[in-house]
Amino acid sequence: MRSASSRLVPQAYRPALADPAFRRLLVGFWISDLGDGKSFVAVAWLALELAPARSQGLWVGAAVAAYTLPGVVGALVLGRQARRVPARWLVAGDGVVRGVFLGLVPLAWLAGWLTPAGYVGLLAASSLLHAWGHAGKYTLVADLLPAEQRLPANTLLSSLTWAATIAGPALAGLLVTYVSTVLVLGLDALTFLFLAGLVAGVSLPPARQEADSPPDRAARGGFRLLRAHPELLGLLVLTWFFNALYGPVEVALPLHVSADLEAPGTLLGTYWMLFGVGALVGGLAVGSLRRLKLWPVTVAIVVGWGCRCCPSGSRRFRWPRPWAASPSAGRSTGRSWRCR
Amino acid sequence: MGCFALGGAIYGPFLALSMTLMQQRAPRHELAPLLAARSAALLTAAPVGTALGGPLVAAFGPRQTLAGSGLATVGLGVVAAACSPSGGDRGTEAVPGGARSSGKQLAPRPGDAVPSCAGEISGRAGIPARSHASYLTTIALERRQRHTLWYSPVRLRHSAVVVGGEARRRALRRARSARRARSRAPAWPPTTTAPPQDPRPTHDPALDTEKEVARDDVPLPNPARAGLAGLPGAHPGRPTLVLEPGRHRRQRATAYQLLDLREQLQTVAPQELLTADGVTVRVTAFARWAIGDPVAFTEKVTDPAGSVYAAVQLALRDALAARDAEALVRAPRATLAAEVVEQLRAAAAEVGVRLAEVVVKDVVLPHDLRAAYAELVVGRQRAQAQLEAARAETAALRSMANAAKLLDDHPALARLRLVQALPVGARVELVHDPGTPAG
Repeated sequence: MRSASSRLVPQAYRPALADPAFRRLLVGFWISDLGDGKSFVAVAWLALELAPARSQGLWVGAAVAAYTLPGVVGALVLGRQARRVPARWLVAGDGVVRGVFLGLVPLAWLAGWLTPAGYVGLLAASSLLHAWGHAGKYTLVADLLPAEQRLPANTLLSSLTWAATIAGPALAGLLVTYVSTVLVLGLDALTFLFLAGLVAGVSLPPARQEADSPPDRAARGGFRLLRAHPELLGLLVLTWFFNALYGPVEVALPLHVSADLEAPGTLLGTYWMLFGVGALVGGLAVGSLRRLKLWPVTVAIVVGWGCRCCPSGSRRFRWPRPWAASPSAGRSTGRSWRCR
Repeated sequence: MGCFALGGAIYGPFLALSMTLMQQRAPRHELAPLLAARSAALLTAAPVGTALGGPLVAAFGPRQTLAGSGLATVGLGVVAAACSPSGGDRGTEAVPGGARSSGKQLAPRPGDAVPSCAGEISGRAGIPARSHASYLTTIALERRQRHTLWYSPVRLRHSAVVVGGEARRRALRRARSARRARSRAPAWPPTTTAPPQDPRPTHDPALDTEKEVARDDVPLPNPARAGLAGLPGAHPGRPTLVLEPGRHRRQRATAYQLLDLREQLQTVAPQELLTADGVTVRVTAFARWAIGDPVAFTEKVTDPAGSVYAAVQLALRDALAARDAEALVRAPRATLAAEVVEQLRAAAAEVGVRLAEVVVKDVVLPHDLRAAYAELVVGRQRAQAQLEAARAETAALRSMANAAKLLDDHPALARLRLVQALPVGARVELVHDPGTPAG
């Protein structure tokens, strides 16, 4: 049975999955991603419940921003301290901070102390280490696995994140409707604490533990380091513009669908599900390729994505109701704001 | 519906690929700060794009905004394709001998420690593994004969091509930093004497790094002796690895330098040196040396062979300046050579050279001094001969005096000696004199 199931796994993923520490991390990251996907719906929903009727929009915007943007501040302000910290403690620290502050939300709500301002403050505090946690996640993969296993490992992580991003909001919708919004945030807090415990207990290979104590050169700022690596700076600029150019699409698509195409919501939901399935399959397929030129494929993705967007602007070529169903708006925002 | 699945399939791998690129390219200890900076930067991307989206949609309409965003993304991809590193693209597989490599890996020869060596390479240096597609050849190193230095990742392609503008400025900056790094290399030999004026021995031009940098490719190693490209000064802090004997996968954008670890004979051209008493002597010597530390040998000085040559010359000069010409002529050559070796050994080790021996072949005095020395020796020998002659004459006279005294004291002995001295056939007449007693 075991051998039959292992035969189903593509060859490229087997070495990475054979590592027990990586398997544990994979489970931890997937569960925390699932909680994160759920909370992304719950964050806005709880803000709606807490905010006064007149300023609901303001509080929802503030809550969503507070759940993501303090990560930038954390990356800049805490850089001097955090960049000397080993990757696993970055992930664990981010998990603990998120778990504690998100966990305070349901506690404060139960105690009756939760105000909109306090809620936004707790959200902001919870996401302070988000950039470092994200960095630690992929640094941990680099620590744990040799170079040839990193692409499969990264695709597994990103695919599970995709899956969690799709499944999370659906679960959150059910929980918000039938149980309670704060329960979703409480569960999210528990998933982060679970991840922190899992990462703290993982054992790194001895040869790579030395890398946990970086030399003094690592004390330089991340942006200064980027200037010393033009190739990485170029990759960051490419990714930044790639994500930024997605912003207008995010705004234009709902209007395009509602005004031009008059699409029904159920069909859009189906399309969105197909997009997610395509992303999952595409990611896993690329991860299984063993001889891959990274730069050309990355550039090809950018060009392909641009070509994919272009026909929607043409009057002759009409897309059948793209991606702007109500879940997709939240998901798209989630995808790009969560610094992929 | 297929279009949406296709869109997802296109978008899906981007995160994993970009993260893998970061992991492969960034040095290990800098990865976390770099990823955090990336996360912080990207957190601002979507809000900026969304904020721009509102006015754009209001101005041009949703359809045109979508088309414009798509076209801009295509343009971004084209720009990225033009700027992306052409020579430095590397895939995801490990160097041979690692845990999992493809079928193109060459089997190591019996006794060659290839797997452990390859593991040591990737583990010790933290250098990202490269795609097998870019491995053109393998290099086979003979056991105990040669070691190879592996500079990585040196971008010869980018160092060589100067296209103007920013690229030209970068190349010039790199060249300047390389010169500075070379000038910061420790001075060797440590003496402050002026460098010798004698012609240097012919140096293998293949070791000239700048010439090699100008080439775009890395030539195959010559089985007899080969020096391949390296930029030891241009990339300070980049690891230089010594490959053990065995087979190793050759990688692009990596410079290899084959070094011959066998002993070499360096003949020092005859040089005229002053002794302590001001006599000019002509000295011929040679040195036997080998590479002791390949990394120091290539990184400390640009011309190690020339440095060895100059150091031997200067050490000889110093050793002779402390001796008189007569002492120099009389002292055994081995003493002088041992003194030179002792003086050089530590300094040679500093630049990666193991000095085995310095042999002083000839010490030639000037012609006048040689003639004077010859006359001195001749006179000394002549006086010795005369002294010996006088001694012999004295001894002969003394012996004759003793004989005379004996004959005088013993007349019978004198008569007997007389009879003995008579030639054969002589007639002897005995005359009896009654006045004398018979004896």
